[in-house]
Amino acid sequence: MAETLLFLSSGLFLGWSLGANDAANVFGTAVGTRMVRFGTAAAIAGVFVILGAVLQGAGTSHGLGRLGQVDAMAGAFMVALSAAMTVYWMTKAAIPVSISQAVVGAICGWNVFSARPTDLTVLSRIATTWVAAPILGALFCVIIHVCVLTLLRITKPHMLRVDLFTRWGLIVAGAFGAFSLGANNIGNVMGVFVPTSPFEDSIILGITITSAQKLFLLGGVSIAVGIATYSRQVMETVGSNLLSVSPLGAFSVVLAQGLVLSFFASRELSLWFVSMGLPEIPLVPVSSSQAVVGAIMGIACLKGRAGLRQVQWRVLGGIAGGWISTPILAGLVCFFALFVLQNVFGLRVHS
Amino acid sequence: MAHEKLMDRPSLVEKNKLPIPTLRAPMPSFRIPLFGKTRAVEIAIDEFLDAVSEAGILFGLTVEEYVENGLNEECMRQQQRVRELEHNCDDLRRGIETVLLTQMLIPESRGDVLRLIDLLDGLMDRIKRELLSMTIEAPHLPESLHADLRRLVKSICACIDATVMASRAFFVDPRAVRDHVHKIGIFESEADSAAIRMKQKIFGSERDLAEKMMLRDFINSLDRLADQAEDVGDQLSIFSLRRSL
Repeated sequence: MAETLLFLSSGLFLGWSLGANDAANVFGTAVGTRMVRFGTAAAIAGVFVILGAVLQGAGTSHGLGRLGQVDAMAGAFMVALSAAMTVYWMTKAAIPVSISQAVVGAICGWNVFSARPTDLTVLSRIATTWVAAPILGALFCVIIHVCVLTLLRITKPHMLRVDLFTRWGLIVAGAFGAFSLGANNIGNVMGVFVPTSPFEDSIILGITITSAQKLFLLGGVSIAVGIATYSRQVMETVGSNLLSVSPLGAFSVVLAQGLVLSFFASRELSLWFVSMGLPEIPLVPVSSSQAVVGAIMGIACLKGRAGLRQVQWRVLGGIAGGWISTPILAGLVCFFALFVLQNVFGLRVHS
Repeated sequence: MAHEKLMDRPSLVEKNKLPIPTLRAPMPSFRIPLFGKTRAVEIAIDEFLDAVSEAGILFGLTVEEYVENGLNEECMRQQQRVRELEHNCDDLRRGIETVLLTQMLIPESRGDVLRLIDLLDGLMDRIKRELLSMTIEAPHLPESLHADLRRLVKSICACIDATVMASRAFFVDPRAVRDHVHKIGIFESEADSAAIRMKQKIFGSERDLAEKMMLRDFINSLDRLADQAEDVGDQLSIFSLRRSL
């Protein structure tokens, strides 16, 4: 049991850092502008992240599994740890980084180390989602924001009523965003452990709980702990800096981000796409931060030239650079770390 | 005796069958309910703007009454009503400020709303002070100034009315603020023109210098009401622009 927990610890650490950082994308503005109390935001985000992870987390984990089936517990441990270390170093160096990209890079590193082929079709589809997520975020955000503004222009509610609706809107959109974050990003946290899950399937009150769902519950709890213990400062500072938009704009941004994460996490939607003769949606974890940046770009575009002038192009450039540098760095770290783990500690990192 | 006769004459309000503002139910003082703070602040802001609007109307009626019939009970009653309204406005302002700050409502516009309420409270205070000065100093207004004084007061009242309209628009439709502010500017220019004409007449007449100066100060003081309303309008333009960004 202790050994299992030790191996899972890297995933739990990844979950904790995900909760600490990415919860700001969901409730950052609401808390930063003091429209929602931190305690309320943390409680809602924690509950909905766990629900999203357990109820809808299977899709993205399966998507990552198609890239590489990490079939040894020690290997999974090092994949998650390499991703976590890459995220830590890049964050320290103030380079925008995505946990999703780091995990993908680390899995590729494991593939190379264990001499397994990396499916380039799957990899290219995943890389497409990295570009598609911010673009979709911008698109969804523009549509939502235009609808909201049109509604306000027609109904002309009192400023205070708008404030009240925005407050509730931010809570509801935040809950949805947290659910989507759990559903989409649990693949990053626990996806690599699914093939070697130490848990058994069980039936509680007639409901079958799979071993993967138990892993996701654990991962969800680690994200929730990250939110509760370390996201406050991020929400109050980084959150308000990142989303330098009005609370109404923030509502559109958070809702758009939730939709993007759901888009790449929902099996039902993917199946519906296929039934309509459309291409299948790749169910993979995408970066919530990049979806948010895309959504903010959408609002900037809506404001025209004045809005685009406010855009920090350097941040966007950094994100685009991160699409290449993050997976490569994570892959290299993982490859060398696996080498050390296998040859120094004598652990089996692949079967 | 002459004074009694004056008092027996019907007031301007009665003559014109205008609604007597004092018949309105007394304004409730600001209360913060346990729930629906937003609604409570919304009502308080509406009541505040109603009070400013009513004070503007009463200001016009009181000066008209004074021009028509001199200082009488009707003038005093209306002046007293404006003082009550100003007092209620102070209560409302404090309540609005407290709730907006403690409940963290409208974070991005809170500063502008508080400043607007403050500016309108200043306008209200000036209306009260002008009426109080008029009833205390009771300046003698020669017949030759009546027409221009009516024009001046009409422009000031229109200015105040447009300011209240612009303030209401700021809360529900910021794009409409510009139209009202534009009107405030026009009425303020009208008020200035009337004031200049009156001062030219005063200083072109054979009057005692002390009387001339007293009338000049009285007119300047009234005209400053329009200037103050214009200042509120200018601030509202900035606030609405900030909201629309």
